Amino acid sequence: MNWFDGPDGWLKYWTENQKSLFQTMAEGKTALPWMTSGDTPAGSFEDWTRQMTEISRRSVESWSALAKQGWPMLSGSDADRSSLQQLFDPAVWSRTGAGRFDLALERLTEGPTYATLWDLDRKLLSAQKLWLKRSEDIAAYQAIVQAAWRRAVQRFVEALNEPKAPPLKSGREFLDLWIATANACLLEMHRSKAFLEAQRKMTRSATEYRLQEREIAEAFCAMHHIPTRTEMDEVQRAVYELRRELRALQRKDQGELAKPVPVPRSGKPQAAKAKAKRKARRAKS
Amino acid sequence: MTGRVQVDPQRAFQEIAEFNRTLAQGLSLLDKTRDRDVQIATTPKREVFRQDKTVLYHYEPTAKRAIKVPVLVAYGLIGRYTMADLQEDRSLMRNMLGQGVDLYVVDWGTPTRTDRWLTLDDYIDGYLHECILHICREHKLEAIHLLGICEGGVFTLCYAALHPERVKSLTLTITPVDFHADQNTSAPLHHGLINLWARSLTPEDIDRMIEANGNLPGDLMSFVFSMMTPLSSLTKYSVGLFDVMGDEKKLLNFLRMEKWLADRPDHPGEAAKQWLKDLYQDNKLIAGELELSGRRVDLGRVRMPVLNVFAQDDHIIPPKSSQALGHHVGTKDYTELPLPGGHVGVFVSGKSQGILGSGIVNWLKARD
Repeated sequence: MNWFDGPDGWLKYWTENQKSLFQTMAEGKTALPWMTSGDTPAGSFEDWTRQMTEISRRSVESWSALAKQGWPMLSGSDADRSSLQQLFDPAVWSRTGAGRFDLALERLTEGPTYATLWDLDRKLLSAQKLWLKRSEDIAAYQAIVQAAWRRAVQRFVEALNEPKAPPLKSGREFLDLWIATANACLLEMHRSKAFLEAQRKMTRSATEYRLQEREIAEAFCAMHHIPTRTEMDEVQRAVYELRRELRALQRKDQGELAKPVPVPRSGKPQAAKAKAKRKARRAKS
Repeated sequence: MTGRVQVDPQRAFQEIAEFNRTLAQGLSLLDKTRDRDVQIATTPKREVFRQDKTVLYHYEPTAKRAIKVPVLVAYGLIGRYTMADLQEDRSLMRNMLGQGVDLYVVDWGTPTRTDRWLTLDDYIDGYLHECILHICREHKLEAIHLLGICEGGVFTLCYAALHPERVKSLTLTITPVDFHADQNTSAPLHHGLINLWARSLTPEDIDRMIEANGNLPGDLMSFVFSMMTPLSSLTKYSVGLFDVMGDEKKLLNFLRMEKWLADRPDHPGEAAKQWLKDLYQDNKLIAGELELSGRRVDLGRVRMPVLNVFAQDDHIIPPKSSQALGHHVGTKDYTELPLPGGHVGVFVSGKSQGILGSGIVNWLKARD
């Protein structure tokens, strides 16, 4: 079975692994010290399964609580479901490209929407065309990102099956291998011409759409006697230029102050001046 | 599924138990951690000069002055100077103050859309110049020591070329000089990605982006930085946080760094155009073609002593980009100080703390 065929392949993998582990123990192939230690009461396999389920439930709850308490800005997002799941679930990557990683770019590519202004036909048509272009470019970008994630999974599976590689003896080693593999794949993608060009096109089309959206908003502003962004920019530019001129004038006015103040290193210069004055007076008299 | 995964069930349960323990510890630590516990840039200082949003601070001395001429620290507009004063035991500022340096720092403030028209000329030949004049007046000096960090290094370098009479010595840290030095190297994959990204845009892309956003959004720059370390960026709040949450000191360090990262201001639009187009794309600084306030920035005029500090594993500013400075400045007193670690690590890692502060102060003492 290929664990990575479906979007929930990872979860299946973990579930199956857990099942195998339980089965192994149920068949008495291994004994866990804590099951027979004084700290934890020994019991039937059913008791043990119940305890494990409880431990897992508590882990997931604690993790969610951590996400909510430690990072309030993540509340309400996927983080309160399970950050761990996001780490391993390709389905999550499919929805968001590179996941949370792309949020900054998303914020840049998304702007305010003005659905109520669809009566401005010409501007609307142009905005629609730009929206389509933006959507196409985002899709092209996502396709490249998804391909890199697929490559990462493929390489990870290869690495897991590498006979000469050292064994992975803990969950953490397994996780670290996945992180290193995926990191290398994503970096290769980030340096590729195809990715850089797709990202450039996406950023550009999002920018053009946003500017067109501004035109629609400005038409609304003009109709309702509200200053537009363009007008505000013009005013700010005028203020900036005036400030700059003012600073230049101030600097010119305070020219002497701006010049370096000579530091008297010893009494000699003043003494020499006084001597010269005395000499001049003597010469006059 | 594979023979390589040989997780011993006993160890797996230990891992789960350890995971739960660390999580519980971390939750309890996070629960009692308040914003006041995660303060950065706490070294005492007072405002001595202000122009528009730019503020000049003078640090309170903590030791007998060992260097007569004051040092002015200038950070860039991508990020903030607080990186050099992240926490008490990892602060370049405290380190230098403790060794008898009379220290100033310039804070450019938080630019908003109203600042979109500000150019590099305004920052270098305007605000930085005014701060330097203020210090010169206060101390009755002709020139002071300048210390630039990252983009601030470019600011101080350009300033030194335009006003060499005001600069007694120039210390640059993690400063890009040759913006195309990332090409044709065998550096690791993540090195110099920002250079590649900047060159992938067309000049018109940059103009339109600034037109639409007013400034170069800080969020976008954060995204570009994240591209260089994709998985550690993605897993920062899961694996990264988990790795430190069991240890209070490490957790607080993590949170302080987060605080600094979250405080990434937008880069004023016109200045960003110059930064990306003139420098990253056209590499005008080393070509001697960069113009500020109508004057050409001629690095040959930098004849004061120069100390060039760079990080050997800097993925943001490749070492070669900084080292190019030696070929272009006019001074004969040029020193390089390579430090272990990465771009930010130079300032925040325990390893480089001693070397950085002492290295700079000893170099300054010999030239004061």
